[in-house]
Amino acid sequence: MLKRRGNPLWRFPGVAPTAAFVFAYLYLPIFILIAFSFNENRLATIWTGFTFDWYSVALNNSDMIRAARNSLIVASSATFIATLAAIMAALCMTRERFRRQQAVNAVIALPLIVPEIVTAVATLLFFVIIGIRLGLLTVIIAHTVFCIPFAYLPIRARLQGMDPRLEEAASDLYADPWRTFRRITLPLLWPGILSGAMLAFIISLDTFVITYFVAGAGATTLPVYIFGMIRIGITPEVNAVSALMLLISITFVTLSFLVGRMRR
Amino acid sequence: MGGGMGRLLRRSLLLGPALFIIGFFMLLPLFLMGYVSILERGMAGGVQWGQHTVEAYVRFLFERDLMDNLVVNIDYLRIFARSFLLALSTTIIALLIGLPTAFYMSLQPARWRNLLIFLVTIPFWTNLLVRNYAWILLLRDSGLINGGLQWLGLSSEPIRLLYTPFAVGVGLTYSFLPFMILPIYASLEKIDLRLVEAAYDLGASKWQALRRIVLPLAMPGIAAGSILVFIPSLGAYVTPELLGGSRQLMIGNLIQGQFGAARNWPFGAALAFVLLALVLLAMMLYARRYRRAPGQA
Amino acid sequence: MQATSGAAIETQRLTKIFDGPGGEVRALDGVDLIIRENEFFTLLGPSGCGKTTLLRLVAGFEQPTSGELLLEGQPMAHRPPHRRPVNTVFQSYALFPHMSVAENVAFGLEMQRTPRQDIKARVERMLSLVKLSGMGERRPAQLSGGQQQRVALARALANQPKVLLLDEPLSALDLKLRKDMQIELKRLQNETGITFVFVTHDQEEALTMSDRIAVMNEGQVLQVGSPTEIYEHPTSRFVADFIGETNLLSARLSRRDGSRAIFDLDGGGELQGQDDGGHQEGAAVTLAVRPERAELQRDGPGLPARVEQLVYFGTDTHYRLRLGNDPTPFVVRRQNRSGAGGGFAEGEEVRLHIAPDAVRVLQD
Ligand SMILES: Nc1ncnc2c1ncn2[C@@H]1O[C@H](COP(=O)(O)OP(=O)(O)O)[C@@H](O)[C@H]1O
Ligand SMILES: [Mg+2]
Repeated sequence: MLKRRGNPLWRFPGVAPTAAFVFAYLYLPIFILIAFSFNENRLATIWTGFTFDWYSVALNNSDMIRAARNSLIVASSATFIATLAAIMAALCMTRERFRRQQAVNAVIALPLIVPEIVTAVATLLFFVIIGIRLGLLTVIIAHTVFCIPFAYLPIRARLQGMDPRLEEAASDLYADPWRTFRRITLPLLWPGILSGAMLAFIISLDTFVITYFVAGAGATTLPVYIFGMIRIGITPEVNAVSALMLLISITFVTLSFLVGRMRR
Repeated sequence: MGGGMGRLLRRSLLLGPALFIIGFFMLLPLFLMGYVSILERGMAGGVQWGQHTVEAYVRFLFERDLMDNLVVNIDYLRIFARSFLLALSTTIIALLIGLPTAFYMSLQPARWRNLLIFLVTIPFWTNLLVRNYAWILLLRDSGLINGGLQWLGLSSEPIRLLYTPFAVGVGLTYSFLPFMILPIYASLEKIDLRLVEAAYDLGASKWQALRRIVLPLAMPGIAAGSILVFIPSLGAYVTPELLGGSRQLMIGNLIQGQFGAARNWPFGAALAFVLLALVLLAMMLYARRYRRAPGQA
Repeated sequence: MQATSGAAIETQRLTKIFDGPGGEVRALDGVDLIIRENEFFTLLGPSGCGKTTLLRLVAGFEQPTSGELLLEGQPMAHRPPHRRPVNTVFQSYALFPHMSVAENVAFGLEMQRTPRQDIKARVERMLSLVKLSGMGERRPAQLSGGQQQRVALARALANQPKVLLLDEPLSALDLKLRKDMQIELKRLQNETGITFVFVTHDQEEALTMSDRIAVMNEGQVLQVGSPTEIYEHPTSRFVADFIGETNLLSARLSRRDGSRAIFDLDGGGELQGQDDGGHQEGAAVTLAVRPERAELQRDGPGLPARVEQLVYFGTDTHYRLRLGNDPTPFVVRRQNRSGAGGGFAEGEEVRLHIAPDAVRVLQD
């Protein structure tokens, strides 16, 4: 684009300060939370010294460890199924033209549009009415549903950005459709798949409302557990667990972002 | 390649899993929820099958007194109104601070721009619960903001911030601001600056150029961003629960209550159904004008 | 349907209609072509005339709406691309970005399950054929445009196809490189004896490289012939105008005189041409005259004309003449020979002399 920077025509009063305010607004709470998780003082209002103690307290809490394990089981299963379904759907939607395509896209995007609380209510009623016992299975199913669009979007974007001539070139060089897929499409699609799977994984790890509704007694996940802790009171241990959650998410997004940007 | 039948089979096989999962575990439950909302409430929670009633919708506006007469009751309406107002103010505030931010980002050199986008995206991917929890640390009576004010000598008593509409507004804006910034940024980035320079050339002032050229071009982004902030704000559960306390209930908390303590499933389903209808209405109004789903901005 | 012997490719009333957003697009409209074995055949035409579509039908990436396509006498309907004995050099090269140059070249052989040793040897030979020995380990992104082009060529040639399809393979190269590659391609075609079907919109490229040329416009093949035939004997206004520069004159066939035909020019004056016997006396015709086939004289016989403008081109000079009351200028090209002198000045009244065998009578 045309010399955007340094063009005085483009300096509007208040724009840069607002942007600075917004970035501070977005990050200040995160930094405060992380800082407090290292605060020695139990009351957490005054800084008295640096400590890792709260992390070791948190990591020795067996209920929390169990919740974290549940979270991992749910997130990996939901991610696996959702990513597979998303890859197949994206292949069909980018490689073919048919009449009901817009409708299919709308259905896939549905979990993004319907408010989480509504999905939660509907899913809970559904499981109870058809008589599936609430537990890890119901959580996995519910998570898979809304992980699909998150896995789907980056994969579809990658496919749309792929030169269709490459697949034609492969078939021109005697590769049958399956081998074209294995040797050309799949390797070039990998970054999209990884990026989609990682997003699905984080979303599953983070989701609270739906899990809160459909997790039965034994299927408490980490966010549900943290919610319970916050309800009871603010402790440095909650700070530590929360900070850990933040770091895990940020690590995953950063990875997903880097992989997504990978050159072909 | 292949005949029409082969192509149809291939298409069904590829689309099947995704459509089945979403259709069977989301679309079907939504219809079921609509049906539950017109069922009689069960004695100990649950529903009575085959007993149809509009009681759940009546209950939304009326209550029954001891003589079983309907008396207008605006408690629930008030919660809806509060949710609507909070969602609306959240959207407006997010627009007021999001638009300049997106504008600022679009004027940065390319490398720097990508980093800023990334920074705006990160909060979206981090845990909503945890991010709202962080605001408790800032807003409570012994929190950082009150501590700071007292330290500066600006107040001697803690000001009540937590469990107020203000806290809920701050939390909601904080939760969904990235949804406002990113679509606006996406539409601003496409603007050809030569257009604006042409406008200067024709004697437009900076503000005229902003109003007449930049804003109209940013309109699709503004519309998409507003809808993306408004919808989740309206149905928020976590923020009012953590930052609003029992006196700042929103629709989400009301709905959740029907499945917890109140054990009134048909009413909970009806409330959720009304919320869904409101959201779909907003989406339709949006789509009528912009003809795309906001996710595709 | 009858297959022609000795034809590498034959099309019969080949038609392709796309459903575009703005309605149907007739990309190919009843194309009849015979491309012989071992020839360098060029599809020439302006952008959008259907050249790429024709190649894609031959390669099997698209299915014809109607008509027949035969490769080596075999009907190709519904045969997928991976089972057709042709290879393609794409306009964008379409090299596999995640494979090395050698892996790209080996791809087709691997798909045909050629033994490993043979693949290795063939890849070496192909790379040296296109002068890229030692570059096998590189990624396509590390090569220049010209090198990528040659990898695409090697990748296609490695399979020793019956027919090689090349879609504007040189259009992305700069002028110097393009000239070198033209010679290179011609050499490769001679050495391998493979039938080349070459697509270009550049008439000069077509004239210098081809054994035969098909000129296309709006989905139709207008004329097929050797470069000389196409250049010297264009049959239609479009071909005459598209290939090289040409003067087009509207006229009427006034009478016949032995093997000669005498035309009355609409702008005034008479012109003699060879009688092709295709027109009745009194019929309106279009005459084509190449700028280098007309001569200028100070006086003597010929059409009276006036030099309106003179454009110097180094090796030659273009004279733009006004002929009678014809509004379009008539262009004559004369070589600038040193010391020859004899140039004409702007505004000078001259005689335009056109030999009968320089006058082409067009069909439309
Ligand atoms: N996939 C397609 N869908 C719709 N129209 C197409 C498609 N491919 C080509 N066309 C149209 O067909 C015509 C011929 O295109 P093409 O064969 O690419 O021309 P050329 O290669 O001679 O420039 C053009 O008008 C083009 O717009
Ligand atoms: Mg083309």
